[in-house]
Amino acid sequence: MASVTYEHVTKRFGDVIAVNDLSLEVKDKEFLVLVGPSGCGKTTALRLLAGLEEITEGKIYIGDRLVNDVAPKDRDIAMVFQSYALYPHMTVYDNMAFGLKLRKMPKSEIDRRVKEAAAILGIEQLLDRKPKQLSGGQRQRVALGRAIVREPKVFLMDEPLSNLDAKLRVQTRAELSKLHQRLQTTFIYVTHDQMEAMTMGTRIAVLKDGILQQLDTPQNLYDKPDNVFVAGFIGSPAMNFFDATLVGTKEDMYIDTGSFRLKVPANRLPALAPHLGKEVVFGIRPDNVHDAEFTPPGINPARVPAKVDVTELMGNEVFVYLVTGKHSYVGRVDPRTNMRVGHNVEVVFDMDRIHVFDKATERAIR
Amino acid sequence: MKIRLREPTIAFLFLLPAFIGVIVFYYYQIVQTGIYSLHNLQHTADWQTQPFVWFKNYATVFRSTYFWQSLRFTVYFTFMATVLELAVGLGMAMATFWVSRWLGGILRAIIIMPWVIPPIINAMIWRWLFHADVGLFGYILVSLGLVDKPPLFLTEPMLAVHSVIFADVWKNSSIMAIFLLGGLAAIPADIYDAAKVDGARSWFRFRKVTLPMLLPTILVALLFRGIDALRTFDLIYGLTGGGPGTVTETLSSFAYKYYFTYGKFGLGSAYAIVVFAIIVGLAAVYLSRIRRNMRFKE
Repeated sequence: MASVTYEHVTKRFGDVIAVNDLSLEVKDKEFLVLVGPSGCGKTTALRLLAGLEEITEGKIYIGDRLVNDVAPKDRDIAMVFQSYALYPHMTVYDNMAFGLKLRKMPKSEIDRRVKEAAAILGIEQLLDRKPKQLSGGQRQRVALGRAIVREPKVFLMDEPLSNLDAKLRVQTRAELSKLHQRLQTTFIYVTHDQMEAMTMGTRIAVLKDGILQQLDTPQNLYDKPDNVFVAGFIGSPAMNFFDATLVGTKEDMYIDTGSFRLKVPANRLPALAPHLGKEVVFGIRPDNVHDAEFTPPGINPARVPAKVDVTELMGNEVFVYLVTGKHSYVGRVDPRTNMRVGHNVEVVFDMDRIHVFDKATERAIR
Repeated sequence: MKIRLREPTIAFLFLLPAFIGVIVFYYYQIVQTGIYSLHNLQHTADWQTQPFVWFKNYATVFRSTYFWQSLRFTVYFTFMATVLELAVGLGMAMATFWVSRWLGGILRAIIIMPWVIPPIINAMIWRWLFHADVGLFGYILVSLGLVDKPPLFLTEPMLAVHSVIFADVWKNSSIMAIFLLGGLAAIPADIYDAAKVDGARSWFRFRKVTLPMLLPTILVALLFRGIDALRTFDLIYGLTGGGPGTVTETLSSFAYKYYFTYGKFGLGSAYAIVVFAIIVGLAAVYLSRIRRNMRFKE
């Protein structure tokens, strides 16, 4: 159990900056998720912490201990790899015991830990098998078991679920969360899948091009994204964006997209006032675009005419692909909707849930 | 009119040229050699006019001390050469694998060089290097003050045996290294990382991770080189001619001598068939090993 601190950490591979001035504090017992598109530096950030890559600049602490020059084996961490990286010539038992044997732990203690971890993961009956005789899900458990037996201060996981099929992934997601609660240890988890990040993370760090974009709880990332990238990356289907201009007066302001005009709610006026007359990016999530016939109560509605381009029935909801003027966007509407392809309809935007970003800096205006 | 053929028929037709080639250029000779070996055949007389002697030639071969001596040398040579080549090749492969990419490329090119040289040229090069009067090796040893006069590398029996092995190791370690490089590349990098995090130091990683995972490749490489070494002919022919006496005579070079030096075609054929049988036995092991490797991969 320990906190982890990145202090202005930079990693360069030749001319490529993989991690750029990353400062980040992971609290003790936290489940922190590093998320971002491929090549964003999340895996490198994790490997720096593991000691598998050398830090170019900056400092990394595990607890209070500076670990820049500490060998991986002495950092008191355990890592689960995307490929699982099991030793193919060893049995499941030996795979899990390998790290403990290297630490010259007594045989009885090794046996106790391996059996205990196997029980937690439900793989007791597989201990004599070789990795080749296991299914993907079973291998994944062995890889987890190998980390658990070490009883490390920090668990590092590099996309451990991405080689599993969709159903197993969802199931294992929940099990990992349970495991985290049970072990009461710091988890640092790398994924490119925002859904995994949202469902498992205590907090999420969003990275892009080696730069930390935002570090916050899942709900805050969803509700209050700091910039256009985070807003677009978190949530599925992604947020709708419209290039727009703020027009009118400081008391009576409108968001003008060229295709439609929306009145800015009074509580947003002070923040947006300095941007009057300037170009902005207007964002609204599909969840906040409703069918006018089924407008939920308690929202701040603004009506917009639209033409239905495509509909996707998901059972409990319907995704409608809408066109207004020159803009296309997605709404996530009530399944009772009567919207059909080609219909001219009215949709309702919830103005309490709009996002406005500075066009030049792409930062949220709040 | 268009002729329509079923797919298996077309496949058979495509295979036919190669099939005929193999029959004419391989199996015909083997069968012919087998028939020769049952006759008392001198020079190139027509075998049909020569006396049929059943297995008398084979009996002669197995009774001959030369056969047992050359078998002993061949086995010793094969064992020493393959073991040394494995050691040297593994060293070269590891060195090439762990350095930077561009340096690795250069090293690979250097490593492959000895293997590219034709065996008979290699034999000639080493004949000069080992030459008692003008050889570089003798000169170096004398210059260093290690010996008074150049050793008789190719005429002193013990020295000759090991000079031959040395020349073979120099040439064939490279193919061993290339084999092993392929095996090393097939080990996922993640496994090394996992071992690092688990706490294995480099020597331990080599012993407990690299070596076991390389083992299938090593076995195949050993068998491949072993079969090759058992058949060694060019090197002996070019370097020592089997001498001094018959000390460095391999099975193949001895069979050659029976044919072309002594003109005993029947006996030489029996010799060749025995060598052939030994190698086929080893090749069968090799093939089954490869097949098992394939199954592992799946």
